[in-house]
Amino acid sequence: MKTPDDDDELDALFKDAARDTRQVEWTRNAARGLEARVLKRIARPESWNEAIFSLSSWRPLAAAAFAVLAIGAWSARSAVDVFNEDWLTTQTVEDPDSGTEFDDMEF
Amino acid sequence: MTAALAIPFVHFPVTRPLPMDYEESALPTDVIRAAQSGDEGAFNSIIRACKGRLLGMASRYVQSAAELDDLGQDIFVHVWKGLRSYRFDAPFPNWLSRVAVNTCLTHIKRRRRRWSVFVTPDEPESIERVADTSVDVEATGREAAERLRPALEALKPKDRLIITLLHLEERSVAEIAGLTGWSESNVKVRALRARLKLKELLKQYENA
Repeated sequence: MKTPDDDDELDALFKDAARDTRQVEWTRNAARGLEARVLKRIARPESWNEAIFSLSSWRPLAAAAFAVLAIGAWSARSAVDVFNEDWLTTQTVEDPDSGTEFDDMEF
Repeated sequence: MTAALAIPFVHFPVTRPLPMDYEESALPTDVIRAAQSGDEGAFNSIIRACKGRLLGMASRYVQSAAELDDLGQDIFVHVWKGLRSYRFDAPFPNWLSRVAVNTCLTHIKRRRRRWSVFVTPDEPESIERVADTSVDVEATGREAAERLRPALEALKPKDRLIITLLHLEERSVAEIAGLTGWSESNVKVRALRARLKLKELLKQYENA
């Protein structure tokens, strides 16, 4: 088999390949009943798997927005607590025994 | 008295109009608008009118009837999803072709990612066996397609698309620019590079 070194040979190869009749047969087979299969797919509810990889779906966007809101709300609550003195006092417990061992020492 | 005034119940059978057969170029605007508003019967008519041409286009990017069936379904599902965005500012068949070309490009990108590891340089040998058994035109076409196939599979998806549109479907540069949304000069440059790369790959496979 010759390798298409020059452009004419490559063009001839393209021309021959364009006459491959198997594609006509595949087209005929695939066309049979295609309408029913497409309408069935359209009627089927969109799966999560399809939705995640589809940029036109609202679901990944909704999931991302929900995640941002949930994390945002959680973080905001923690941030508010930092400025809440009542809450801060509940977090710091005074230990009556606190102090260093030097306190009891006599000089 | 009330009985006399009562309207007798008349049962009107609800029938769905059967999908009509149209030529693709003569699809009425009403049908397209009905499909845009979600009428599945109208969409059925669109599929019937366009499936032959679009499947013919898609058949260049597959290796079996089953794969073409999947790709054909994908194309029409994308058409259905994007139909509302069609604004009647370009002929409907052109818009459909653009959707089909984009879906084919996505398909070959996805397949290349999945199967590229399995494309081996020794595949053309099995093709020679097929070709030797017959010398008629059909076999020549098949042999040539099989010689090209591994090299086309190894090309980058966009390069493969451009080679297919330009050399196998014999479309003009302007037509390809319209279908892909690339500029004409971009199409020319990409086509030249893709052709050189293809020649290199063919040489590599056939010397292996």
